[in-house]
Amino acid sequence: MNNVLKKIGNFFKNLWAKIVPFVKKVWAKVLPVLKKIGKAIAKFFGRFKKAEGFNAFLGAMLAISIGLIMGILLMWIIKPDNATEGITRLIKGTLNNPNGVKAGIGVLLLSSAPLIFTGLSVAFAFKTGLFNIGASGQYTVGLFCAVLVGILGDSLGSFQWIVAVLAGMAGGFLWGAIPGLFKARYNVHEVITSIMFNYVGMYLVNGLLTSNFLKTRVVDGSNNRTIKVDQLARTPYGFFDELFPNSGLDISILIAIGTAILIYFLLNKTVFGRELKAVGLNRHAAKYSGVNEKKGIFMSMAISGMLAGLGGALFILGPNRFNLGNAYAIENVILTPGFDGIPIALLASSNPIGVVFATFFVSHIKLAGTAMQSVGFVKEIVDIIIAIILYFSAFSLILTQNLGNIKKFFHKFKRKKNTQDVAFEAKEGDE
Amino acid sequence: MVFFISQSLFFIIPLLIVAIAGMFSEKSGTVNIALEGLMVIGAFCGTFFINKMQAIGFLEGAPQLLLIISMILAGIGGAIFSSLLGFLAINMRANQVIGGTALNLVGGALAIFLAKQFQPNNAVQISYDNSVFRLDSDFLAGVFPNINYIFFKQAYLTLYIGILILIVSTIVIYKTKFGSRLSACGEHPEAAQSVGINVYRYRWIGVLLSGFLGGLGGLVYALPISVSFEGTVAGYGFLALAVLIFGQWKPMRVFIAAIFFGMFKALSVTFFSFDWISDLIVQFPNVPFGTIFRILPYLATMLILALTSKRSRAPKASGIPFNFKAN
Repeated sequence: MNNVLKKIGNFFKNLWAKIVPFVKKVWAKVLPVLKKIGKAIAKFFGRFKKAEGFNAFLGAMLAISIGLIMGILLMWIIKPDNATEGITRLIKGTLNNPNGVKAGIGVLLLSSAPLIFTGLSVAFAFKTGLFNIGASGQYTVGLFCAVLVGILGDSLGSFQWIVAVLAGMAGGFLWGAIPGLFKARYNVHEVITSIMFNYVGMYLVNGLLTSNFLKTRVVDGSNNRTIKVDQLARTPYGFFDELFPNSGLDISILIAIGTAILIYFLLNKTVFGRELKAVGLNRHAAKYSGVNEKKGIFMSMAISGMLAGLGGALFILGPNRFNLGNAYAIENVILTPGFDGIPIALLASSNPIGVVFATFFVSHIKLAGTAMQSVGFVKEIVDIIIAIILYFSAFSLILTQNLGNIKKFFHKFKRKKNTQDVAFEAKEGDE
Repeated sequence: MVFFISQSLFFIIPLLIVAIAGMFSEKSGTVNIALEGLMVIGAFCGTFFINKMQAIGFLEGAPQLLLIISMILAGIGGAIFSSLLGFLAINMRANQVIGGTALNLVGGALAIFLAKQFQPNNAVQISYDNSVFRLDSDFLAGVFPNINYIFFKQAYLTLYIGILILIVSTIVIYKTKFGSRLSACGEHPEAAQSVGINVYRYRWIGVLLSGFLGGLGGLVYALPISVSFEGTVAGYGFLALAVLIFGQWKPMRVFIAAIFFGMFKALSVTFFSFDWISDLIVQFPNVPFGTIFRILPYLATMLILALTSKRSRAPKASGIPFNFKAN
């Protein structure tokens, strides 16, 4: 028995003695190749590193991962039993849809469309140096104008939905222009005016909807919501009806992506956009170089409001699933899409194209919130995650800019460790 | 009229406290747009404590003591929450407006989340009995029944605490070494640093004080006007910010501004108690008076800001991160 064991032991010893040199040989050949690949990757990313967007992208990724980790930790602390299921649902997000992946993606795109607009609204104002917290009010006013045309404008025929969309844009434009005017003419900080106008807009819209004239025509008294807009006022499904059947997706997502591209070109390739950006970077320098800076501030707030209003209009005109339509509930609560635009714009570093992708992420995680409720998690956990992401993206730019310093720090740490190891070995040797 | 004044005190005092909270932070050089979030967190901590304590009957005989303890708790909650802003704005030198907005979102979400998680049936409302905190004293009732009604019968202890905070902070800002140093850090941090003031420390103190008062103000706001807290203070933090600007960062002027806005805000809930307004409503049934009075405080704010913002006396370095190494 012992002999057998010895034989087996020897066999493995021999095998080991044979394998080690072989592995070493192969490793010696592979290592340079790996090094080459590593260098190539470093070079590839190095090219991006020079680009402005890379740091922003890295910062966004950092903020997202910190936010998700914090959210997961929170879930783990609160309900350890259901945490695994909850976290799976959180990550799956869109894919939780019981009707399959296709329907899930359709719902994701549908819920993304209004958020892309509010995100673009905040991002556009950011690019021009203004902080538009009032996207919510602009969204509500745009929605209200679209509802009016969508319900009362029967004589417009098949143009009704287009006119309704334009009316929504006009409403948003007006509601953004007022804070812009106050900022440009009276130097009142746009954050305070736009937040005030969230409330003014909400109370005004609710007041008008409950007024004697509109109460009977626009509002459904039984549930205190607006009635659904006319069939001709609804945005068409386009080809999405066949692509994502029964998801309720309409062409608003296409309009949203198109608008994002348009805004990108407006900001980067036109004189007007460049002037707006110049006003944002340095108001006085822009004035000195001949830009009408007051008009710039006014226009950028107004366009920002118009984008939010467009989002509201397209939301309320959307046909939704089975062509049931959307409704606005008359409650004294500020609508959330406007506030969701802020983290979206920050995550995207105010890049209009980035806004689209940031919106997909936020919608994805929001859909996960609804799915998590059935396993005992409150859906506000998603709001907390988004807020944490916003918090960290506020200084992630600084973090990524100081990435070099962090690297240096780790190098120092390594060196220290190495010297410690050497000292330890020396001690051992002495013994 | 008496009812109106008594109601408007419920709006004036929290506005005053929260605007002074913002003042401490801005005087030290940090824009605190997170006042709204601080109020929500403070109101949550305070009402949640009151809810639990009233359920087990703790301090049933001494409601004022319970109120004071919960106010301190609300303040501590706000101070802890504001340290997030301090870290972001002072140590990380990030954009303070964005950071403050993030904290507003965190505050709102956190309050609703915690309320749902720790209450039976996932209820958002944290209910409490606020009638026990009323002073309900008969002081001067025989001589001046109106003054008794406003200041002693219907009033809460918070009224006097608010006035105390106003007086103390006026003295602190203008008459103490600490106050002058705090203002120096907001006006010209480099100069302050050159005479040996630790700008970071003073800014941290400013932010933490702001958090404490902001949280306390949140509870003071939530307590008298309702019997439950639902995770929102309805834009009151931003109104306080406007009061601060209208008050030109000076405690006494902030008080006057708070009276002005508090009256308008109270008008939006009590306008029907005035006979002449009731007459107007009867005469013009088509005019939406409710909506008008709801919008009025905001529009008045806008107008006043438009008139006063041109010659603003804001602390000069407010909102600008201070970098020790750069000097």
